[in-house]
Amino acid sequence: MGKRGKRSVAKILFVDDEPNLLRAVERTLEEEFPAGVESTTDPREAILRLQCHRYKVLVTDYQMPHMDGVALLGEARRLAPDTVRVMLTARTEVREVAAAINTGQIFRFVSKPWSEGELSAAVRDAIAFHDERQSRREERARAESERKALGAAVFAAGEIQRALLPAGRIEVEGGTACCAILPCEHATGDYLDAVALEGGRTGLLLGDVSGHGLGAALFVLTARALLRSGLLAGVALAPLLERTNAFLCRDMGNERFLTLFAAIYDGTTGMLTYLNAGHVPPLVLGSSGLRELPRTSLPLGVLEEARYNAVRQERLAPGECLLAYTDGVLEARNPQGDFFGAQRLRELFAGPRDAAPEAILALLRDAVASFALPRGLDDDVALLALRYTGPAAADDA
Amino acid sequence: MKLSSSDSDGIPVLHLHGEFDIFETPTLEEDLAGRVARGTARVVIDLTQVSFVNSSTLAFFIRAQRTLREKGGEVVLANPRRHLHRTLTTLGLAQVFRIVGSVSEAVAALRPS
Repeated sequence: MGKRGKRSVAKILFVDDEPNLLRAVERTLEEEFPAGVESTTDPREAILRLQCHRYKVLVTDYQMPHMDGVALLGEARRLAPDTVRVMLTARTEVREVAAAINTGQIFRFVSKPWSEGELSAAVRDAIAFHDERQSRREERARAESERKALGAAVFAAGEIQRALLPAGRIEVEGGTACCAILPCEHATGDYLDAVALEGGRTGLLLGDVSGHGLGAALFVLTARALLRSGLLAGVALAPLLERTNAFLCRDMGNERFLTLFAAIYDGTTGMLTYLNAGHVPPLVLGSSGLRELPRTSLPLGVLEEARYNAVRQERLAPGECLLAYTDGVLEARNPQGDFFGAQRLRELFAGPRDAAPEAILALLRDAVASFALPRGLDDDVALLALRYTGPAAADDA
Repeated sequence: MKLSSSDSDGIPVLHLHGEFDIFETPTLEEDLAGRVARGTARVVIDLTQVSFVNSSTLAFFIRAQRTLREKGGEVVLANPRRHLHRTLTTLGLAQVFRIVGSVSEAVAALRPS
């Protein structure tokens, strides 16, 4: 028989050059392992069979013509590494086979003559060992396959996000803007969007879904679809967030919430009309220092009956810079366990007064990333910076 | 041990210790699910020894509040440290939870009148 493929034919292959002993063993083992025992007096025949069939256990004598048991077991180990190997030895041969046992070629040896039940017990244990090892191997292969499938799904989600979420320069009227996301896993739970609207306005959204990974990423994409479509349809911020909140509470399994800074930026006047739904307060850097855009509402996805009508306005003066970010910045940790923190962020943001948004984000991104080395980020980081360069308000002139 | 519990006037108190992120959340979920199955509807979460929670744990607090409110009860948060209190406030969760200064105050708030 050739090597085309192995068929699972029998569990046990027994090799001994004494035919009478073979017959006795077959009678003993076939009672417990019916139709599962094969035997041969020739170790060369055994090698051929190992090439063509799958056995759970190989039991072989030590002293045989043409090839001794250690050599046979060595070949068996090479040809059929999953087959568990048992050796029969006369009591005087133990020293000779000790080296083979110690090199791990043999599961067990049974001394001749063996006591009643001893051989059956050895074979039974060998089959159990084989089955247990096989089961663990299959379990590992299943886990690896699932891990790869999940990895592929997370990778795919990340690719979709990268295609949909903005990165880099944002086109706005009356100013320059830039954004960046640093995911701590391949798919992010942070949310960024910039939606071009009529009349020189831009919808700016920056948020953070609880948790990260694939589930958070899918939540982000759902929220993005709702918010973006609402803004483009001209829905005002208050009803937009109320509808989005209601949907997320009812339809997203109550597992997550979304903190969100949602603003309509008017590039002709510098006016920000915004709601801050439980998000870390964005900062505005002006000539008189830093000021915050405080929370106005609950995060989305917490309470279905929550109201989002506390819309606020903040006018940016020419040259003033807005920075919105997620708490992954604040919670980045160095090897000593220190947090990056709000103070460090404020100092960095307030440092280069007239820097372009791209430069500000590059500075912050590099600072957070290097602060967290070598452990890396524990949470996603999203950043959005906008500098207003349009005209001053009429009443400021 | 990150989670221990005690009982005060028949009100279970969950004492959280140290940092809580996504890895600890299943333990909290399992503990609460067991209590709800046994009929518990009022729980104090003692945050005195909590140095950090991330959004996964906060999401658990919110889910716990929803679950217990559906059963006519509630979760009261006790004695968060300043940083955590600020996080809870920033999120607006003072609208969702009673946040009090001590475990005894929390137990008193949940004691049937």
